[in-house]
Amino acid sequence: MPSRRQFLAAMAAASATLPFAGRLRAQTPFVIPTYGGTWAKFWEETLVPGFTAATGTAAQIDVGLGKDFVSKIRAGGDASPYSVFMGNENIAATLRAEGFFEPLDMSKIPNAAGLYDGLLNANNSGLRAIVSPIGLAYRTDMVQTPPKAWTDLWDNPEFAGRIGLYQIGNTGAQLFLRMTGKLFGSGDTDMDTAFAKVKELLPFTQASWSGEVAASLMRGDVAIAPVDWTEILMLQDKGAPVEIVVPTEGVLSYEQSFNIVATGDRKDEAHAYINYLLDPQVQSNMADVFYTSPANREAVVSDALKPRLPIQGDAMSKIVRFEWDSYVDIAAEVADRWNREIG
Amino acid sequence: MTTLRLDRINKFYGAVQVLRNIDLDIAQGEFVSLLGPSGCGKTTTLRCIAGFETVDQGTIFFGSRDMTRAMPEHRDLGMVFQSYALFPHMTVTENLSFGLEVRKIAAADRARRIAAVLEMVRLTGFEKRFPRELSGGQQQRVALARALVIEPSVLLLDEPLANLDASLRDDMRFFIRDLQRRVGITTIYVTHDQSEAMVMSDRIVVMNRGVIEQCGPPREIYERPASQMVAGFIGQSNTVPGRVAGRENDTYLVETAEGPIRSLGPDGLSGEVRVMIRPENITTDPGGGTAVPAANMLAGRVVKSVYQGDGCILGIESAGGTAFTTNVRADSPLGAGAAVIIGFDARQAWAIPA
Amino acid sequence: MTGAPSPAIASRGGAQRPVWWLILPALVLLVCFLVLPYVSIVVMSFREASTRAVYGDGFTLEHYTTVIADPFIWGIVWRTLRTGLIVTVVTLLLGYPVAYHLARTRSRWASVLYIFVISPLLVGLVVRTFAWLIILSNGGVANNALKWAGLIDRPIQLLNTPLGVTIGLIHVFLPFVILPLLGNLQAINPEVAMAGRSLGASRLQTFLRVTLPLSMPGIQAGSILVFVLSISAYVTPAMLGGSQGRTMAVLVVQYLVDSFRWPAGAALAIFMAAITLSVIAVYLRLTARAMRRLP
Repeated sequence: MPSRRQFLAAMAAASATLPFAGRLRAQTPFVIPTYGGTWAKFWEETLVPGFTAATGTAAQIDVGLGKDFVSKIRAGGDASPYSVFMGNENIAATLRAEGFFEPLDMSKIPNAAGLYDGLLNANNSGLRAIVSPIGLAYRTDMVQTPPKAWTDLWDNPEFAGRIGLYQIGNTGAQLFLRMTGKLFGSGDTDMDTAFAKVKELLPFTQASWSGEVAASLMRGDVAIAPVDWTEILMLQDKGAPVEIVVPTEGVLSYEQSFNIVATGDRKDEAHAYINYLLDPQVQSNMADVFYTSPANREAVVSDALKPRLPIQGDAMSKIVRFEWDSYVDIAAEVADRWNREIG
Repeated sequence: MTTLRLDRINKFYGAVQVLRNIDLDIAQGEFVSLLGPSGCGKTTTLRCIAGFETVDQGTIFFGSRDMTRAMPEHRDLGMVFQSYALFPHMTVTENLSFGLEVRKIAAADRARRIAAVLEMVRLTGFEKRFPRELSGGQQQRVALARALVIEPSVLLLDEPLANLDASLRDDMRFFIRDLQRRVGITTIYVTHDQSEAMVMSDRIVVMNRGVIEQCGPPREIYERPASQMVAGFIGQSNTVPGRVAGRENDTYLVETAEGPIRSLGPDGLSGEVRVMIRPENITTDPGGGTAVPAANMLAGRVVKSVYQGDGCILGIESAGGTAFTTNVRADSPLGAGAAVIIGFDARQAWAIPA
Repeated sequence: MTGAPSPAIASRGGAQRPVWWLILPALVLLVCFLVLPYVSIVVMSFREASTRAVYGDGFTLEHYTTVIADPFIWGIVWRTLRTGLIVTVVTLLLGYPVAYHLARTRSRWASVLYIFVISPLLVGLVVRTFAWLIILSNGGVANNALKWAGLIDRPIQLLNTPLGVTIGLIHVFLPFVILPLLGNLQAINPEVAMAGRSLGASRLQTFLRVTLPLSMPGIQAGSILVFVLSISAYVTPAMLGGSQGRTMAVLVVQYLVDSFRWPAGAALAIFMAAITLSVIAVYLRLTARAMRRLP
């Protein structure tokens, strides 16, 4: 039998290394969470080197989805692996509600002065630095009357059974639901109306992310779908017969919300990073690479891109936004209801 | 009466011919052993008979019926495998019952036959045991009983004693032989153990490299081997190379390095031969004129003597340089280095074509 | 060698004390990687839900009572179990002949077939499933082939259905039934089947009464493996199932990752684990009956 004393000695030896591990943590590199694919590539090749050159801070990226970052920050308890969070505003709102974020120190983000209206949260609780508007995309060879408004999805019979929508796990679906409530009901939280109207569109194809919508469009399973400009302009670059329009009621938008993680330990660098992201040149670069709409008024959109990117400059006001901080209380319920009623 | 006939059986594995023109007639009630070194084709021959191997050329007759292409289950054979191949998930009774059930024998009949066969193999009382609860010898007897209970026309045994202890093996030889006589069943027995074949068989078929080297009763195989392979494979033998110089009546005169040797041999022998003498047929005498006169007498010297309990094995080198082995009584005065005269009769020498 | 071990060997073996500390690394791993995560999930499943924190302050049975009373959840449970059952039965039916052939063949093509069998494991799961996504889509290979064969005139929906998930899972898990069966069948003395034939039983009779009962351990191991893997599979149903083919694993991930409902998601996971465990317990009892006569 191993003696109890031996065991305790081993435990003591193991725990003796813990404070040392704590000290090691202080020297952890500044970690920037970002998404995979072209995003990771751009961050690695352009953005991070640029950030390091501009600020002298070394950084490394961690690739995942906004939801993964949430899980890691939550699991980190009082020691988050990140000091900055990037994710859609509705996801950021969840963590904010749980107290993981602290307000931005605007004095450390001078570039935020150029933000378009609506991109800075109330009380500086966060700001959206990367904007990908969502319009109505369609197959030019499969649609006779191009859509003009969101309501065409309901009104134009040629779309019936050929619509693609995001599934509820994607922010796009929540945006669309709230837009539906706003269009047909008492407001963007009128979920009863929203669900009733979305059910009218059944059967439709559901996609987990924009790439899947694009694939459905390309396969012809779907003739029309709400998608972001980023995805559609990339399809057009490959020669696909797709077009995207600005609905008369305004556009929706994926907005990457940037927040300071209260439990992170590199908050100064996090502010510097957000400030660098808002730099007009960086914003223009991202517009060229991702077809995102610059969030900073000072950023210039190239003449070649201007006609393809209708939501920029003054047109940024066409973005319809919703309030997410209170939505977190019904978010789980909405997702559950979607599963049950839509499938 | 022939129960089983193999007519010019040929079999190939790809380009390799494993059986070459196998001809064999087996009479009703006969016990025939297929004997040979591993890879000689004896098990393949047995499996061709059983239907587990296809025959490329030739015909297999059961009685007058051509069964060359018949399925194993239609051949009315009982088979005992080297591994016994008992059904591990069935009791002794169930193992025996299997063959009877597929033959749709009524339950009462089955019980009676199983009881009778179990008594025959002395396993009464073991009915409910599983094979894993039996000793090797008992499993062996269950396998035998299982093959016999279906009352097949031919019993095939594939090295059934190979996995038994030496002492048990001796008992089982006589047990199987005795059982076979009592039942009177035609039996083909595959073995690589020549002494097993010797004590059990009516006839031995010696096989080598896919051909039958010799087929005959044990005595003929032992005393009149048709080839060097047979002589070497069956029992101990001494051979002296030489050349046929002439023949007197039935005795050949063979010119060898040891001088002329008189020997029997098959008719029509000429040219290069080897004279074979079994160790037990050699007499040894210390020199000095005490030797018992014999047709062939050679001078030599004992090079080694190995004590064996019941006697000694003597290694002798003759004057002409041939190595002989023979057995002497344990109290023989002959030790290593002793001069010796070895003698053997012409009737105990057998010339084989070289 | 037969007979009892000599006393010398026996006493020396007895004098050797068991080296208890050799199991420590395995024990530590087991505790760290199996027990601790499980405990944390179980504890999490009893936490109160909250939208103002990761979980609430108190403990509650609410997540379990809600799940158990919810016909929607039971529908997905049933779909998951049914999918697992179909995948298990079909992989067994498809895999058994392959394993049997591999166990008995002496052909030099056996190694090629063997590689063929494990080939699904050589490519990443996501990549394989993506291939199925392309094959099963409305304009994909499967529908085109059916159309070409004249069996259908308009595409049938394969993607985003339980059928699509079942097809994908069968492909992915076929090796998991073949490999245990292969090991089992190889261990069965081929002479036993020959004995059956020599006693007058046909191929089928011999298979049913001799080979099949003897291969029960392989069938049991393979089927439990495939059943458990199918039920807990995430990637395949997530990519091929859509909402129609959604399984419990997908729902649990949705709770945990999409809706950030850790306590409820944990309860859902434990609930499904309990159901799976009971199904396997019943299955083990049933198969143990079939195997009680085996050595």
